[in-house]
Amino acid sequence: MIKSTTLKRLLAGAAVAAAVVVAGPALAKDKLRICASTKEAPYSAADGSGFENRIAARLAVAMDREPEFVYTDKFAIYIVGEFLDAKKCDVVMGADVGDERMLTTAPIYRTGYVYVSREDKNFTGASWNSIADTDYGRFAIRFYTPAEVMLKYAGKWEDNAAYLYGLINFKSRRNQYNQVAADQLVSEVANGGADLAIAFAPDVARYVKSSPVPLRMTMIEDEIVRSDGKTIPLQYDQAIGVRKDDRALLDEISAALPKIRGDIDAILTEEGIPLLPPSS
Amino acid sequence: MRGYVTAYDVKTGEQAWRAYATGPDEQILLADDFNIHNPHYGQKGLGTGTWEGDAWKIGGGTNWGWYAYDPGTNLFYYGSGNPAPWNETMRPGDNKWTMTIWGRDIDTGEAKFGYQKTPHDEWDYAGVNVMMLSEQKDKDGNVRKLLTHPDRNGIVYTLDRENGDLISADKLDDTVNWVKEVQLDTGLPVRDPEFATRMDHKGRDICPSAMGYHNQGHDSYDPERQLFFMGINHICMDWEPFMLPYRAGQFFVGATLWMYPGPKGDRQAYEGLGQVKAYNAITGDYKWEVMERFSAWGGTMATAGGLVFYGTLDGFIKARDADTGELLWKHKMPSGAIGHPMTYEHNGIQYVAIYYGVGGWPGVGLVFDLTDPTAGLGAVGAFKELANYTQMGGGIMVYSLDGKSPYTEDVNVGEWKPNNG
Repeated sequence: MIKSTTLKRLLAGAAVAAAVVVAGPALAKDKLRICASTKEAPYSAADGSGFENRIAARLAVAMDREPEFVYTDKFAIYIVGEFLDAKKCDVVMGADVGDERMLTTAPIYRTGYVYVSREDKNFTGASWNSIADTDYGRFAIRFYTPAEVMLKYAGKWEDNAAYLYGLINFKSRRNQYNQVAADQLVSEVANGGADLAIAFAPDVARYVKSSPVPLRMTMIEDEIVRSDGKTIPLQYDQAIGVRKDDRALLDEISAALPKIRGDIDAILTEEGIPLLPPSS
Repeated sequence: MRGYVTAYDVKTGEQAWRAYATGPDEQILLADDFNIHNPHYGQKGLGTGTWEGDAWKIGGGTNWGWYAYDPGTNLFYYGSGNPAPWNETMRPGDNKWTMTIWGRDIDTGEAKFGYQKTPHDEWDYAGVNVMMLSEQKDKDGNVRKLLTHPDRNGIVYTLDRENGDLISADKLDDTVNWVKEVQLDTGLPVRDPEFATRMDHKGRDICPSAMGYHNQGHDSYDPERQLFFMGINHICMDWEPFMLPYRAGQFFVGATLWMYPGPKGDRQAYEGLGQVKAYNAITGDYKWEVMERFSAWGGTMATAGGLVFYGTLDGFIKARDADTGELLWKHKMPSGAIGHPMTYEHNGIQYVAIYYGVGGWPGVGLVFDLTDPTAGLGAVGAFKELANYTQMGGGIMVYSLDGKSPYTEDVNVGEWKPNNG
C-alpha cells in the first residue's frame, strides 16, 4: 500500500518564495519522489515529522523540485527492495555510506550506538564490553542490531529474552518483521523497566531529549570484535541513496547538499543526535 | 520460552513438582535410571550439553498438547514441543529435550524415559500430539503396553510405554520426505538434506509443512480390529530464507513459508488437503485410507459398533465403516469442525456429540479475513478455498443413534403453557 503525499505544509516558506520569483502562471516543477515509511519514527512518520522527512523536504527545495513523499506502511527495511528498486520512488534518506544496494552520497552526518541510562545510575561505560561488568539484567534494544551481539557476548541475552520479546508481544518473526518502537527503548529506561537501552543514537536522541526523567546518552567508542576475529562497527556515516543506475540524480543531490548544510545541522542538533566527524 | 509441566495439589493448590524440557538434569527431573532400557536415546547432562552456551534457557520445548495417564505404570505421557528460536542456525545441537515423548511418574514428576523424535528441529514439528494407549501383541507375540503417537513430523511412533522401547515408526503417508526412514535400532531419523530448512537453501515441496501431517487432532483406537484411525493433514510447503540488510549494522534474517496441498491433492484447486487412515501399529499397514477436501484436523472417534466418526473443516460430521472406510452417513453442520466427536449413553439411547466452529490454524484466514497467502505462516494460502465451503460459527451438535429428537414422539414436549387462563 502506497500513499503519495505532497507536504505543502513543510514547504510553506518555499512556496511563498517561488511565487515571488515566478511571475504569472506557476510552472510545474519536477518532483523529488522520496521513499518513506509511516512507521519509522523518529526518522520518518506519516505526518512528515521525522527528521529525515524534514531533511528531504529541504533537499527538494534546494534542488528546485517539489517533494513527493511516497509512503508505505511497511517498515523501512523493505524500502530498497520493494520500493526504490521497483521505481515507485527515487530517493532513500537513510543509508550507510557505501551500501552496496545503492549509490550513496558523501556522508551527511556520522554517529554511533549509544547507551541510554538514567542520570541517577551514573553509568559511564563507553565500550561495547562495558555491560559485562555490571549487574544489569534488563536491556531494551532493537532486534537485528549489533546490540543483540553485545548482549550475547556479555552473557546477558538469554535472561533478558523474555523481557525483550515481551516488548513486541512475543510475535514470531517468521513471515513478518517486528520491531521495538524507538520511543519505547527510552521510556523503558525512564520508567525503570530496563537498566539500559542500547541503540543507534538517532533512534533515541529525540526521546532522550524530551524525557521527563533525566537520562544520559553515552557514545560507545569501540568496535565489537567477534570470536572469529571480524569486527562489527558501532559508528556509521549516514548518507542519501539512489538506485544504482541513477547517477544523474545522485549528482543533482550532491550538488544541492552544500546549500542545506546549515539546515541539516540545525535539524540534527534539534533532534539531539550526538555527532561525530564524518570518516570519509 | 522454556517449556515445563507442573503438578498441583487439587485440594490445596500447592505445587507438587515442576519438570522442564531443557536445562540441568535436576530441573528436568530425570530419574536415576532414566532411559536405562534405551541408553542410546541419551541419558544425563543433555538438557544443557546439546545447546550452545545458555541457549537452553530460552530453548522452547513447551507442551501444549495432549496427556495420557496409565494407572498401571503410574506414568503419564506427553510430548514437548519445538525448540526456540525457530532459526535453527542459532541453536546448534540436538536441543534436548525438546520434541520428546516423555514417560513421567505422576507422583514425583521424574522421567523414566524420554525419546527425542526430531533432534534439532528445523521445521516447527512441535511434538505435542495425542498419546494413545493400547495393549497389543508385538511381532513376537508378546502382549505389551503400548503408546502410539502420530507426530507433526509425519511419523507415527509406537513405544513400549513401560520402558520406552521403540516398537515401530512409520510414515503417516509415503509423501513424507524430510526423513527417509526412522531407524528402529538407533531411534534416529535419516534426513534428506534436500528438504532441510537451511539459511542458504530454498526448500521446495517439503512434506509435511510446518503444520505437520498430524496436528492437534485427538484420534481413536479400535482394540477389536487393532486399528488406529487418524485424521491427517496433507499439506506441504516451500521455505525461502531471506536476509534483509538495513543501516548501521542491522540486518533481518527471516523466512517465508508457502503452504499448499500435498502431492495427492489438487494443487490447482487447493483441495485435497487431508486424509483419514486406518493404521495397524504392529504390521505398519494401512487397512484403508481416504482423501478429504480439507484437513481432518480434529481427529476421530471409533465405536464398538464398527463406525469411525470425525468432523471436517467444511462442516460435515461423517461416519465410515471401520473395516472398509466406506462412507455411511454424514450431516452438514453450521460451521467447520476442528474438534473431535465423542459419544455417550443417556436413558438407554446412544448419542454422538461434536463441537463445531471453524478456527485454529487452518481457520486463521477465514476468521481474521486475511488474504496474503503467506500470512499465518502460509495457512491462509493453503486454506484459501475454505471460505467457499463454510463460515464462522460455534456450537455443539448432538445426534441420537435412534434418529429421534426429544420432540419426535410428542411435539408438545417443552412447550410453554399459560397457567393463568
